[in-house]
Amino acid sequence: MNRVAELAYFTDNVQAMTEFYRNLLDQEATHVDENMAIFMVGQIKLFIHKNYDASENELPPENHLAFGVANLDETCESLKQKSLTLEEEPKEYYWGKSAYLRDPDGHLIELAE
Amino acid sequence: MNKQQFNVYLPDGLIREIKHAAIDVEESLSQFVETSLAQRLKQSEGSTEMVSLMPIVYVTQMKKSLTFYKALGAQPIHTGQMWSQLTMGDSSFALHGIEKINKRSNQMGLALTAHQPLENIIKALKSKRIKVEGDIVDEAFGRSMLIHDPDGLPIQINEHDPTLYK
Repeated sequence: MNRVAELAYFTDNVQAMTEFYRNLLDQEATHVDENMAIFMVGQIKLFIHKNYDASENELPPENHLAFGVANLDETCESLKQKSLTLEEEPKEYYWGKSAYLRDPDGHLIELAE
Repeated sequence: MNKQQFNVYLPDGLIREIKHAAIDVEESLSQFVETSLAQRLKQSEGSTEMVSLMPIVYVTQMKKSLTFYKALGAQPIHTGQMWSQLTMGDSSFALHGIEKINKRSNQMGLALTAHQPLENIIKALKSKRIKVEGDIVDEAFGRSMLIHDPDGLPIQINEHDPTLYK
C-alpha cells in the first residue's frame, strides 16, 4: 500500500542536526555515521544526510518527501496519464528503485518502490 | 535511601487494583507505588517522546497542491486554505499554506504529536537546552507551538484535543 515513507533533510551539519533530533525525539538514531543519521518515528523515516555538490548526473541534495509505492512503474505510468511530468524516470539507486517529480511549488518528491 | 510514610487518599477500587497489580509483579506495595510514581514524574518532566511524526510541505497554492498530491494517491481528511491534512495508507502528511516559499528555511518541516500537555514539553525542551520560541497557540485541533532545528527548519509540536479533532 502507498504510504509516506521518508522525510529527507540535507544539511552542512549532520552532527548538530543528529544531536538535535536525538534530543527532541528522545530516541537514538537507528543508524548514524559522519555522513548521515536515520531516525524511525512510527513508520516514517527521518533521514538526515550530508549536503553535497551535485554533479550533472546526480540527484540534487534537496530536502524532500518520499512516498512508498507498491509498483513504481505502474504508478509512474498512471501519473503520466494524469499529465504529470517526472523529473527522473524510475531508476535503480543504491537504496532501491525510485523516481522523482516536483509539486506545484517546485518541491522535490520521491516515489520509492 | 531514607524512606518515610506518605499518606494519600485514593478511591477504594484503585487501592484494590494497586494491591493486586503489586502482587502480580511480585513487588511490595511500597516498591510498586514508588516505581509507578517515579515513572510518571520522569514522563511528565523529562521526556519529549512524541507519538507520531508528520511531514509538512509548505505550499503557496493550496488548491493546486491538493490536486497534485491527490494525483499521487493521497486522500484529504481535512482541507483548508492554510492547513490540509492528507493520508496515504496508514500515514499522513500536511500541506501548510504560506504566502511565499523561502527556499532555505521553510519549504518543508515536521509536525510532532505530543503525548502530554505542551507546558511539560516546554519544560523538557528547556532542560535539553532546545530553544522554544513564541507562545502556545490555539488551533482548530487543540494547541500548538513552534520550534526550529539547527538548520532553521520549522517543527510544529501539536497537542490534540480529542473533543475537537479525531
